[in-house]
Amino acid sequence: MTDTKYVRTEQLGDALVVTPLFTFAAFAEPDLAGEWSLVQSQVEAPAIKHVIVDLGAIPYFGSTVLQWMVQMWQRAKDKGGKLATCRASPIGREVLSIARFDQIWGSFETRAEALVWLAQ
Amino acid sequence: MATVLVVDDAAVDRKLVGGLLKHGSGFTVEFAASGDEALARLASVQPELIVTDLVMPGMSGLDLVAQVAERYPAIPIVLMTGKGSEEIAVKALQAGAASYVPKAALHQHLLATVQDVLDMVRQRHSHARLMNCLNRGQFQFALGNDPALIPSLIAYVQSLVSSIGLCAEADVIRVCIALEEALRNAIYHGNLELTSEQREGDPVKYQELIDDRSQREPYAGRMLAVTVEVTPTSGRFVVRDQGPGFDPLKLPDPTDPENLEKVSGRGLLLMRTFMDEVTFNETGNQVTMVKRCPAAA
Repeated sequence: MTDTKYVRTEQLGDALVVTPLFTFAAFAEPDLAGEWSLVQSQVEAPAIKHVIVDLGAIPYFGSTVLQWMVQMWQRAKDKGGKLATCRASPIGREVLSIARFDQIWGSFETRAEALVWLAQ
Repeated sequence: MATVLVVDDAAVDRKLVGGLLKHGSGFTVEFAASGDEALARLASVQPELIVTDLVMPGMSGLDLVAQVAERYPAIPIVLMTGKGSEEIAVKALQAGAASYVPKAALHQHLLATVQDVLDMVRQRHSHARLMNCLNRGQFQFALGNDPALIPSLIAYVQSLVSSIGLCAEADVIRVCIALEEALRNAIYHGNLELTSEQREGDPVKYQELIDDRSQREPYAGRMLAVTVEVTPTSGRFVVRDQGPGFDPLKLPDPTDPENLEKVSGRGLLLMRTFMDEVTFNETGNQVTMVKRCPAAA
């Protein structure tokens, strides 16, 4: 598990759980870039097939987090994996819906539910 | 005359604290011997402040803080902490307690702490009442390409929009998300002329590009003009950069299934969804966003 300033990652089986920890404060982007680069390399690790994005630590988010999620999804897809989200706030779910990502990514209340979906 | 509710399972401590409060500043004091009793009293008594022991049988002071924060958020709580309960005191402060006083120093510090907390709460209420009288807020900011200022600007706008009562809190968040997208676009795509393709590459290299352009002309000297005009019925937010502009009509629709896998391009979508109006000037380097009060719309 890595627990840095802007994002936390943990491995659950063959899924990497990525928890963004920032909202608008992420404009201090030098640190963010380095952490995000680390997350990308973790997604690319052979032991990881799927990605779960746990949105429970941030009450809202915008296009930056969406961009991250698409990039992680692409990497997971390349390995035959999927991306699921969990614990999004009502506004978070709204953002995902606006971007139409609720149509392609599983969205769940808990990590456990996300893991079940990923295993199907 | 302020009413203070004192919560402590020890009768001798209730008497001590009550005496200090009554004789020191003439507070009216009510008592409860437990967290449960305190919650029951709050149904009928409206204290301006609660002073509570931290360690009590049954409902602890920490649990009481959480319950009061949820059910009576306007009532501040001052904790009385004993030796060895510092860690729980930190948790209680994080859960919403306003302050604490060590039990060993009640004589020296209780009155001053209670008065300070009451003064702060009264000032906050007074400020809220003043903000209810606000008819128009208008501000102009001239920012350099300093992303570190953006969170403060958004917090400022959030506070202004909330205070003036333009819209419900969830809509205030939507306004802030839209504003953040507009500011991000203006700085990175506008003033620094970074492309979506560059943003989609290696994040460290992208950050190096940001750092480089931020220090080099013609990018470094470009400014961001942000105008905020808010009334109880509408909010108008104008963001203007000094870049060459762009044609928003040429952006691909990110909701088109063909474009779902594109990494970028959702900022404008969020702006258009969360604001009632989004318009660009002819050059494409100025965006005007309007949010209307639902009741007035």
